[in-house]
Amino acid sequence: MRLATLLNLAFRSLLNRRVTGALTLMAVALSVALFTGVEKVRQGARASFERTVSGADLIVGARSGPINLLLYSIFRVGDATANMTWRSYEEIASDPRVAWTIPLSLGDAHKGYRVVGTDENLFEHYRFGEDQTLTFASGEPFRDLFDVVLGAEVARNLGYRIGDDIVLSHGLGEVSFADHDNKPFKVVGILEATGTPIDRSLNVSLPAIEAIHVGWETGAKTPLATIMTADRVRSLDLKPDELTAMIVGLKSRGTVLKMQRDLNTYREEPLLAVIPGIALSQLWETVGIAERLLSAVSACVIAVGLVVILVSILTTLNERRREMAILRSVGAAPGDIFFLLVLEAAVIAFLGALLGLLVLYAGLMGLAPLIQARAGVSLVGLGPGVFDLVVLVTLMGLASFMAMFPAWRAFRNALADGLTVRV
Amino acid sequence: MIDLSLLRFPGFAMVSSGSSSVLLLEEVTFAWRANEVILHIPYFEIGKGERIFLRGPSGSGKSTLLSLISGVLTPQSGKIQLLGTNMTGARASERDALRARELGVIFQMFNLVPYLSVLENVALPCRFSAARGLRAKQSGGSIEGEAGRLLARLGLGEAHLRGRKATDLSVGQQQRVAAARALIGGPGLILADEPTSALDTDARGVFIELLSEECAARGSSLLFVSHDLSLATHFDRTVDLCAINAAFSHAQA
Repeated sequence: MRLATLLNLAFRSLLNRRVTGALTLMAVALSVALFTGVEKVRQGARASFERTVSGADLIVGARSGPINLLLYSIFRVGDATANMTWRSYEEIASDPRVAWTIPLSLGDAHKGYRVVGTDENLFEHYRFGEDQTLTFASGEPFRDLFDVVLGAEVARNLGYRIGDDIVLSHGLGEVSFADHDNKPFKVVGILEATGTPIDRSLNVSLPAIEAIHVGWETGAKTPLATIMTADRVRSLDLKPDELTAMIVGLKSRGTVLKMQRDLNTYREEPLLAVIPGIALSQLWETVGIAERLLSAVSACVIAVGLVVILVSILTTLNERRREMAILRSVGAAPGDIFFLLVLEAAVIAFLGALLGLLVLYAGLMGLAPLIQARAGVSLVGLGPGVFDLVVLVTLMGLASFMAMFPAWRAFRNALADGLTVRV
Repeated sequence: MIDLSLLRFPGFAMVSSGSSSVLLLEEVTFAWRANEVILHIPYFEIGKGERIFLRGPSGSGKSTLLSLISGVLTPQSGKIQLLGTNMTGARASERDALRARELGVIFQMFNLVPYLSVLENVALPCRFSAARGLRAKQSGGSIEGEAGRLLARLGLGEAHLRGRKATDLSVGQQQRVAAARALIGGPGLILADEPTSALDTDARGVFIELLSEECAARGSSLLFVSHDLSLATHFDRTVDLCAINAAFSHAQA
């Protein structure tokens, strides 16, 4: 009963100080929103990266850096510096240790979304999240030369349906200056959302990539490209010469290190094979310093929020001596006065944190599509979780701890004042 | 936490001590600083239901005396007994519990917790003492009911006043709310420290009459402190603090 009484008093006294109370709450809310937001996005980025490659044993591409290879092949961040040959691809694919391979040929775009040349293995063997395969929201895999399968986000954001015709662009700009406009593609399939970069890609067959680049061998459009219409180009041999990278699945995990070494010392051309998990942890090491710095800064903001709570209580202490004397007169012990102020801090921390989390989730809901589009980070699984609860409880604990200082002063005043305030 | 105050009803305490005194002070001395005794009361007693006018000019140590009686301060020596319980021997927590249960205090002004409503202010002592809450319930059906009844008795019956914030009331109304708070749950003793000094002369008489009636109705004793002797006619007995305070007379002599 005593606790309920004091809690009610703490809450009501806070309500009474509307302006300063609101400002304090706002400061706490913002600090919590910032701190939790940074942590969420950090964890979200990691989770989203980690769920993108599941079940792949090796990523193979032309020799560059492991992180670089992982970033451009799987996460579609940055560009490949060189390609690998189709001959190497075929050789690796036929290695007895290899169970399956997925070829990836990047370089073209459609309205800012990447076009990926691949084959049916993508739909059969690609794994993401907890060993999930790609599934079709509608339609089916590409079969014809000019068929395209859209990622969920591409279809949603550009409003495409099965049967629509689309024109791909050369290069990766959002605004294209060179279109493959005489070779339109037909949408035959739309994938379910995966929370991976697949959602933002247009998947076509490898021959299709060759087909739209007939006449573009120099890197720019030649008259040949215009002459070779969609119908004419079908008669050509469209076997690719090179590709950007490949994903390799092995029959047995035990052979992965040996296989990696064999590929890294490949005789025909300089190749690089990386184990996705290891490359990812290298990536985290690289960005770790910046991450920690960001965390430290947001933790400092939390500290500022706590100081604001402390100040808000300290400044009212003197003008509340009369109130404390009244409470003493109706039976409150000095310990009750102490506890009342600690409770006030805890209530401010609780409400502030709650408000902060609300602001954060409202903000995340609003910003998630933008972050996904701009940074390629899908904020999947960023709903309220245990972490928020930990933040809330910790903040309440810290605020209560710090409030012991003003509470102690009020306790001493209560003992010295008696029933009359001796200022 | 078990509220031990439930076990110690006033009647029980009084029977066991075999005394009808509500308050008893014997050889009580108090000094804020060592060797500066400002209060030395050889003997002072208030009987059950007695209404006493304590005349005390400012500086006579009356605020200190009220703090001592309420157990907020402890004397350097002597005995203070409230309803049979020896306060000087009790622990601080016991004194706090006893104050919550058996004392009603009315200050000169600023009596109310500013952020609580009128009704909540009146009910406040019942939140700090279960025994007092119980007595209020027995008398009024519920704590809020009893608070409302007391407010009505003191001329604050309008329903719209009860939800008001205490600070929205006039000074006279605030003092009456404070009186209702002191009276709720029928405490053994009501301490009133110059409660009428902020009121005009007409209101003073009315206020004291209402307070006296309610004290009588629930058997509470009343210790009314004021420097205004013209009010003394409302009380059973008048005591001059200067006369019972040995320390004061020494200083004057």
